[in-house]
Formats: sequence, structure tokens, C-alpha cells
Amino acid sequence: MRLPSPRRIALFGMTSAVAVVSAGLAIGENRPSLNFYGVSGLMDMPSGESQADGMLTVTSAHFGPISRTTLSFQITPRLGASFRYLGVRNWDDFRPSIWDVYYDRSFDLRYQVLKEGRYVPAVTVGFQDFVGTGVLSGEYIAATKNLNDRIKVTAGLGWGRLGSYGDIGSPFGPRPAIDAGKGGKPSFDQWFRGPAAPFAGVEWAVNDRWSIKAEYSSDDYTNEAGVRRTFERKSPLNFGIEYQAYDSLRLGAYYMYGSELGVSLQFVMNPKQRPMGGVGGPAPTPVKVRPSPTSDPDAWSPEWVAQEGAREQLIQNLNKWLEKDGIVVEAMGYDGRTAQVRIRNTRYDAEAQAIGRVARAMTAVMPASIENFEVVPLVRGMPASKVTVRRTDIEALEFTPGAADAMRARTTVSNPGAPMANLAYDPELYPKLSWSLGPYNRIRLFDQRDPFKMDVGLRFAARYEIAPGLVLAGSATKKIAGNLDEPPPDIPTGLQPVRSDVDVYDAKADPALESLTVAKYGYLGNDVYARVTAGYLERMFAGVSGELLWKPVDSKFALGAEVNYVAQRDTDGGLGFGEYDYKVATGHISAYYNFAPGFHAQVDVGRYLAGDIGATLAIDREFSNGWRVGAFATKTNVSEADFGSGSFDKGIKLEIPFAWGTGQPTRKKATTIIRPFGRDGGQKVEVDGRLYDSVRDYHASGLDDQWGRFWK
Amino acid sequence: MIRRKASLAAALAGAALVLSGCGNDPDANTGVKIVKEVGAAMAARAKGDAAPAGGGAGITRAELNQFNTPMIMAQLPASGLTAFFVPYATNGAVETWASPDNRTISFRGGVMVATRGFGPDIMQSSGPSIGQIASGSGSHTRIFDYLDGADQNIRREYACTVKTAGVETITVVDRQHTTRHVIEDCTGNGGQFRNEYWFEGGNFLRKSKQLLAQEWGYLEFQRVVDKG
Repeated sequence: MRLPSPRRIALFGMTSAVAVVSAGLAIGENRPSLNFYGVSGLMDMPSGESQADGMLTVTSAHFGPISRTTLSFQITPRLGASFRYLGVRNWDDFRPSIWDVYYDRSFDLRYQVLKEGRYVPAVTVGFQDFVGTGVLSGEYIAATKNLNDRIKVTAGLGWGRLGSYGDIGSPFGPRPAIDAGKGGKPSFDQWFRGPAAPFAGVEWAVNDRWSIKAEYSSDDYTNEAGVRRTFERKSPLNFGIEYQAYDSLRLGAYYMYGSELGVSLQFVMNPKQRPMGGVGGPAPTPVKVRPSPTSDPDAWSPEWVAQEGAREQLIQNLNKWLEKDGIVVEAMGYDGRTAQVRIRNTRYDAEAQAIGRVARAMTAVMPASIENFEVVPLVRGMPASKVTVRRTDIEALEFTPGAADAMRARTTVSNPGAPMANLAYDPELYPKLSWSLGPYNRIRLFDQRDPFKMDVGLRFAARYEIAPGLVLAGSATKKIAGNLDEPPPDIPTGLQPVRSDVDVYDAKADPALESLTVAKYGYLGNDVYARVTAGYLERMFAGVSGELLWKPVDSKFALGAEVNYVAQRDTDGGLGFGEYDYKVATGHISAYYNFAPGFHAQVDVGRYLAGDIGATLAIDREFSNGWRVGAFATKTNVSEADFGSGSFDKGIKLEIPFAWGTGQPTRKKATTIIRPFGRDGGQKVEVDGRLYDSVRDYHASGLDDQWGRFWK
Repeated sequence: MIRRKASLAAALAGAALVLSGCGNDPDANTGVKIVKEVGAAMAARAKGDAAPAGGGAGITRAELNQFNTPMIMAQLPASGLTAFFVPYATNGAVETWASPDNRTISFRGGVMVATRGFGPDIMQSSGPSIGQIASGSGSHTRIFDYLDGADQNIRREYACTVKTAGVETITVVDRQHTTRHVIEDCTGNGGQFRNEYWFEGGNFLRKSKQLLAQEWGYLEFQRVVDKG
């Protein structure tokens, strides 16, 4: 029953996008717009507003010689954070400098202390560039009040950079000179010190799409305009007009400081909701209801269990039903009343949907005497959990409102347990070879010469699954084009260059063997999972890696331990180790804790690649559909001087499920880690298939996040 | 022993039979095969003629006469979709019909209670019986469960009234039918909607227009093949 009709699907998709965009605009009215710093506000000045909870925004704003690109995230309804990349052109025009374009990175945090009320304005306290080298540093208190549906006014007081023009004195004393050192640490001493200056602005929404902004800026651009004369600051007044092109995209044009033109692009994503709404994909196999035992007693006889070849036939039939779902039944065991299947889900981002599809297919295939379905999802051949449903419930609830909750209440999620006594694998499945040849890209951000460099090329990857959970896998790349072979000037490091030499690998390793490993995964019982991986683990290290994870299926808490013994690989992408002659034992004890709904913490304590000892804290906001936005920091016993720029390792991490953007089910994700300073302290070996994220999707919380999809 | 073997064979054969009807070997099942052909014909037609006249997606009675399977033509104006559905599975009083492009629509009587494969699907619902609608008067409640863009349940509840709009002659693919036009008006936490039904010779539902989701509007059904 499959008829490819791409035209219809495309049409459906297109119209749905249009519908969503037009539906979204109504909701988007009066949403706080973003300023040039990528935070809620006017142009250069912030406002008292915050973005809606969970919103992720990217802003690129440019005027005169100044460009700012900012990623902002509304961590909680009141707390927001930003990461920014600044470029100032003409830097050496008036005064000599080693830079013609000055680049800098900065982090902000802001907290909305008051929500807007009938008489009370929204009030936000913000810390701009609070850990950087201080180029953009400034603190502010900003208040914003909507006068009616169309007009809002903002007034505030700024310090630091935001207190540099038209100040009213220094209410909290003088601002000490910045002692940035290697940067990357909060500049507590400076906060709210020094001259304070008022700022103000107004935003008028002419209609649902157009708005006009005006502000009085308290930023004097002392360095950029005054010292370096990259532009002329003639006036404190800025004006702009903005257009909401789509729900997710806003464009602006501006006249800044009486001398310069500016433009901005504001891109808004809501990780909570797929823009297209309900997910697509083929309809499921409808539930097949058994005949009543009185009308067809033969169908209910459990004696089929003893038949030769029944298992193979049943597995084969199930797999026919599930082919359209990208699900493979690998093994089956049964007695007269219970059947257990081990499945591999290659498509459904919502694990509950995969379980639901298997359960429905089982109603079509399994003899009537089978009442209990036990679905054991396999991840890398390793059983991750066991989901037990009753066939009677599937039959009864298919069309009943509230079916999702009712089904969940009747479903048991437990650890994988022991396989059923007669469970056996489909002999056709192993060993299995799969391979792919496709494009890759590799990006390097923020080297001293350029904020963005990229290579593109071809990657060949192959996987040979010898037996369930035993995998030989590797990949190799050949570059086709790019500029990663232009290494930045070498910065001395006080440590083994475990990561800072990545630019050398980028330049020399072509063609490169990326990885070649043999790995064994397994469930050991008592909620303990294990992994051993040996070989060329990643581009820069090879060796042996072993991991144990204790994670009860319904627990918010898990513990893990990992031990690695690795040697640093040669930079040519080959098999050798002679270049560095560096071997190190590294490993961590990890604690994982889902401490609040949607918030996850991980603490790793141990020894890192450069032999340094310390701990990593990673905190993520996790959305039910698989979006994750997080930050991490590692402090080890390396001195700031030895570490170099940034003082310690830190960064942000984004995981975006493709299904969110496409509206079609897929398990693919885009993962981005941004480290403002890529140095050698606090670095871990990158090994594929770490256990926690492998099994957790199929545990209670992972299934419950999208349980509604059970019936999809 | 013989009985054992027989029941196993029956179980497996039954599964295989359903399989051939559902998807993995479409050509083995005539009904599905024809629907596939209709689908292909429609797709080809749609390429040449973007806006088929008369809302019939350009299909002719002669083409439909080849089929011996009951068939419903469903259209979703919001997306320009036209698809043909044939009976596929039964669970109690609910009949699920399927199209060649892997969508399903489930009806209780003729009242749509669930969809799959559309994206903004009705996951489950409760509402009037076809008898309540056909009676042409009275009131009832409806509940629809949907999933939002975060896969969380959204429930829409409506209070509805039914009235008769009179006798109408309608055309369904070149054939005229004298029908009784019944209107169902609903108001609730999802807004308002109006479903319409055209009954022929008592309670045979010839045509209907039923809400899929507020953001998407209505699915329009025409029973184009009665046989079966």
C-alpha cells in the first residue's frame, strides 16, 4: 500500500509551513524584539523584558564598522544568557594595531526581577560581557512598560560601557581597572561601579508587522569612536524600523549615532514546539482485534509454541509490518501467554512511538493466546529497557479519548532483565555489514585569524556488526575544499597539546582515518550497563576505553565510571604515534541528575587528557522533543597561566533534533559545541557510544516525554 | 498434533493474508492494487491540470466502475490533498480505511473518530453516533484529543447541536443523488466548527464534511464506490 506521491507531500509540507507562519504571527504580537546585542531591547540599549521561556534566538546586527552576532537563550522564565561574537572593522585605521578587525567573544547573564503588572514595569538586571576581557562590559537595570497594545517605553541606568555617556556620577564608587588576566572569569569587583548613565527608548508597533524604535544611548563608544575613530559618534540618538517577515524572522534597518546606517536580522526558535505541529510519517498498522475465544477457540490455543520454525516465521511477519517504520525485530522469545521481542528503532525520535508501532504490529501477527507484549529496545545491540503492555489494553484503548494516559498507566517500564528462556535472534541478521559514503563538513570557530573556517569533503563509514552488541566500525575522510589548512599562529601551551594542536590535524590529516574501533556493549544486570571500546577512538587519540553505568529505568539519578588509556595520534591521520610519543591514563566518575523537570546536571570528576585533575559541571535545559541547550565548565589543577586564554575550559552545547525542523520522524540530531577558547586543560577523549545518552531515551523519563506518540 | 499444526498454520496464514492486504506486497491484493492505480492516475492528472473542476479531482465514473471495493474519496482543501480510501481494519464499531499513500481515517458509523498519517491527526475522539446525526435534531458533546508540536495531549471539547437543512440533490462523480442535508454546529474550547452530512435513502452517508483540526479545517468525504 505504498504509493510515492512526493508532489502531494511537498504541497502538504508547504501549506503547513504557511499555515504555521500565519497562525504564529497572531501569537507573536507584542513579543519583545531584540537589540544589537541579541537581548530584549531597542538598538544598543536593553529593555526590562525577557523572551518567552525556552526561546533560542540568533541575532546578527551591524552598523558602521561594528558587527555583533549573538546566540541567546531564555534558560528559565526570568533568567537569560547570551554568547556573542563581536567584530570591529577599521581597528588599525587611526592607531596601529596587529588587528585590522578586532574580534572578541562575550557572555551575558540577565535576570528579570519584576514581571510587568498593571502599573509595574518589567524590570531586568543584566550583566553584559561579565566573564570576558571586558571590551563590552557593562551592567544595567532596565524597566519597560507597555502603555497600550502598541507602544512601550523603556528607561534604565547603565554602568561600565553602558554608563559612558551622560553619566550622573558614580553612586557605588569608582570602577577599578579590569584585571582580566587570561580572561574568562567573572569581574565581580567592577559590577555597578563607576559612572552610571541613564538611557531610554520607545518602541511603537505600527501594525502586526512593522514597528519603529527610537532610543537615547548611554554608550559613548569611547574606544571605537573616540580612541580608534572607527566611526564618528555625532549623536546619542538612534532610530530604527523593523519588519516581522515570519514568525521566526525579524529584519531591521537603522540610523545610528547620527552618522551610520545599520541592519539587523533576528531569528527566533521555539524549542518547545515543532513549527509544523504534529509529526508526519506513515500511518500505523491498525490494531487487529482477536476473535472471541468462544467463536474461535482454536485461534487461542497456546500449543503453537512448540512448533518448529514458528519464531522465524513470526519475526519475518513482524518485520514486514514494521518495514515502513524503520524498525527491525531482531529476536523473539515466548511462552503461551507472553512474547518478548528485541527491536532496533532506526527512525522514531519519540521512543514511545516505536514501542506503540511494535505493539500494534504484534496484534496483527502474534497468535491470539499471547496476551503480554514485552518490547525490549536495543541500542547498539544492547538492551536498554523492557516495556510491557497488555494486548487487551491495546485492543480496548485504540479509539478511546485519553488513550495515551490510560495506556501509560497500564504499561510497565522495567530494566531489560534476563532474556526470555527461549529468546533467539533471527539468524539472518548477524553478522551484518553496512556502509555509507557521504559528504562531511568540519568547522573551526574563533581562531585568531578568523571567526569561522570550514572544510568540506567525503566521508566513508562502515559498520560490521559481528554479533548483537559487538561492533567493528570505522570512518575515513578525504577533504575536497576548505580553508582549515591555514593554521592560526601557534600559541604556546604549558600543557601537552592534547587539543590546541587541532589546527595541525585539520591541516595535515588528509586523507585521514578518523576512527577504527571494535566495541562491545552489554547489559550486565542489576541496572548496570557496560561498554568496552578499543582502537582508533577519535582523530587525536587511540587506545582502550571502558565504561560502566548504573541507571535504574525510573531513576532521575545515575552513576557512571569511565577509564581510558590512550596515546596521542600522529597529525597525518595515519596509524602512527611517533610524533608526540604521549600516553596517558584518563577517566572519570560521573553523576547524572535530572534535578528538575527539563533540567539536567552532570558532574564528572577525574583525570583529563593532559594529565590534569579536576571536575566538569554541565547543566542542560532539556525539552521533551530532544532539544538540549546547555553550558559546561571544567576546572582542573592547571594554572591559569598554563591553561592560557580563557583561564579554564568552558562552552555551550546545542542539540537540535532534525524532526523538530522537518516535522518528519527521524532520530538524527545536529549537535554543536561552542568553546570560546579551545585549549588543553580539562579535555576528555571523544569516544563513540557513551552509555548514558544511549540508554536513557528508552528509560521511563525518555519514553514519558513524548508518550502521546505511543498511539501515533 | 494435527490440531496444533493446523492452528499454527492458521495463525501464520492469517497474518500473511492481512499482510498482503496492507502493504508489503500490494500487488497481491486487488483492492489495494486498484486504489494504487487510481492514485497513480490522479497524480498524473494533477500534474497536467492543477485545478480539477467540480471538486471531483477529475476522476470519472467509468474509471470508478472498475473497482469492486467500497471507496471513499477524501479531500483536504487546506493542503490540496485528494486521496482514495478503502476498508482496512475493524476494531469493534470503528472501521479504519486506508489510502495508498499511507494515511488512515477511522469512522464509527460514518462519523470520523481518528486519523493517522496527516500530521495534525485526531488521535482519539468521542462524539455522536451516526444515528444521532441522521435524526436531524438534538444535541451532544464531542471530545477530540490531538498532539501539539511538543507531542503533548491537547483536548478540545465542544457542545454541538444538529439540525436538518432540507433535501438536496448532490453530484458525486457524475452521478446525482437525492440527499437529506444535516448540519452539526459545535462550539467549545477550540472555537467553532460546522460539520455537514448528506444522507441518502435513510442513513446511508453519501457525502460529509468533517473537522480534522481547527488549524487545518475540514476533510471532505464522498462515497464514490458502494460495492463490497
